[in-house]
Amino acid sequence: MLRKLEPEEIAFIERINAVFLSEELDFEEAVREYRRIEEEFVERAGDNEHHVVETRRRITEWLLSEALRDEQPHEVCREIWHELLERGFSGIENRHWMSGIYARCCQMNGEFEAGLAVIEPLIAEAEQGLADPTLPPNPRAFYEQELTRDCKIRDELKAGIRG
Amino acid sequence: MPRVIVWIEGIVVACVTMSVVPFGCASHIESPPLKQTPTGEGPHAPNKTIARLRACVEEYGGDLGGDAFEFHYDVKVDEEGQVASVKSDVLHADFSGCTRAALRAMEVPPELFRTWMFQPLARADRQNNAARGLAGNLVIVGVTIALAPIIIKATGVTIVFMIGIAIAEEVVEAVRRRKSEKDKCTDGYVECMDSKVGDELGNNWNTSRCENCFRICQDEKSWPPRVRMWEDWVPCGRLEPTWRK
Repeated sequence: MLRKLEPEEIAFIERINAVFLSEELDFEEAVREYRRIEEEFVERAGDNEHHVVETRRRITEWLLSEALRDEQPHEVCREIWHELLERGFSGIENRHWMSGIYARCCQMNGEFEAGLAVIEPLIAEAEQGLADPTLPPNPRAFYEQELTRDCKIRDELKAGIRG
Repeated sequence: MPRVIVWIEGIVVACVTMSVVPFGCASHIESPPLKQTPTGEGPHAPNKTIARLRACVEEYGGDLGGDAFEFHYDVKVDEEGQVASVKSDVLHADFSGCTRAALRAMEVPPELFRTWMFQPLARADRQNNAARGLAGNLVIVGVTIALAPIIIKATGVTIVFMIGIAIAEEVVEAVRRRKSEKDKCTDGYVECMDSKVGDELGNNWNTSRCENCFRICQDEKSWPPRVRMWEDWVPCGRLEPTWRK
């Protein structure tokens, strides 16, 4: 049985939405707002180290998504990506999804090699996982879906398609 | 060595002028609308391009048969920032060829080009284009951008170059499609948050399910029907038959 979102999480998501869906803020302003949210909710997390780490990761993930949506230059995407690598991924799903988003940023900026450097190891990982006959059905389904998506991104990068 | 003065006027003047002087009618103007104070403000053609135009004026300006001219150039660029074609209203063949070649070789800065591509489209709906600052001095009319006029004095002749840069329709369509794909994800996120699953937990602390779906959408460029969550596949809201709350 899944737990429900806690009031603290709902407050965080509402604050994020206010920035993400704002039509008034430009990218720099949005970044400042995300950082304010980070500061506030890290403080609210107090001694709960797990919540502190996860809150910081969420902020960087939102920044990368925002950078892609807002057509930011490669340097901006790369800086956020490195911050995300430092902060780490919460799980295999986030590692795949956020890597895909960074690869899309690279693609958008014509930095195809940088995108391939991120996406090709994920493809190798998925192929290796799927080659294991003992892999349970759920991770198998996950790898299958990720493999399809990552191959599509890889093919576009190799073809030099900006988008 | 002739003294050459190059300066850039404000872009507003360029736009207004271009709106009243149609392409294709080169004019020998008696009183060119020149400002006497050079200004470095505003975006302009790359220095290399200005230098090539200046060389054209130095070589052929004296053959034009007057002392002041205003010429118009219609430049089309492709999505990669390469100049695809240049048309002008210059009647003098050598001067026309020389200046068109200079503009054909113009390299448009990629970041500026990207801004040009998205600014008019972004204005139509969302206002969060951070690159707005880059385009702050550009006037965008539809998909045509008027560069600041380039005024070159050399060999006793003054020439005002009015350059309009147009983005080909098919390129704009491609960009619209691309932008539409990105907006699909934001729209999907909004609808997901407004759906029955809007309050559902995502896969981590401070994560909603809709956020997970949004990440996949950014990867895939389309809103996913479902997402893997805690060993289960769960719907992403908007595509379910009764998705509204």
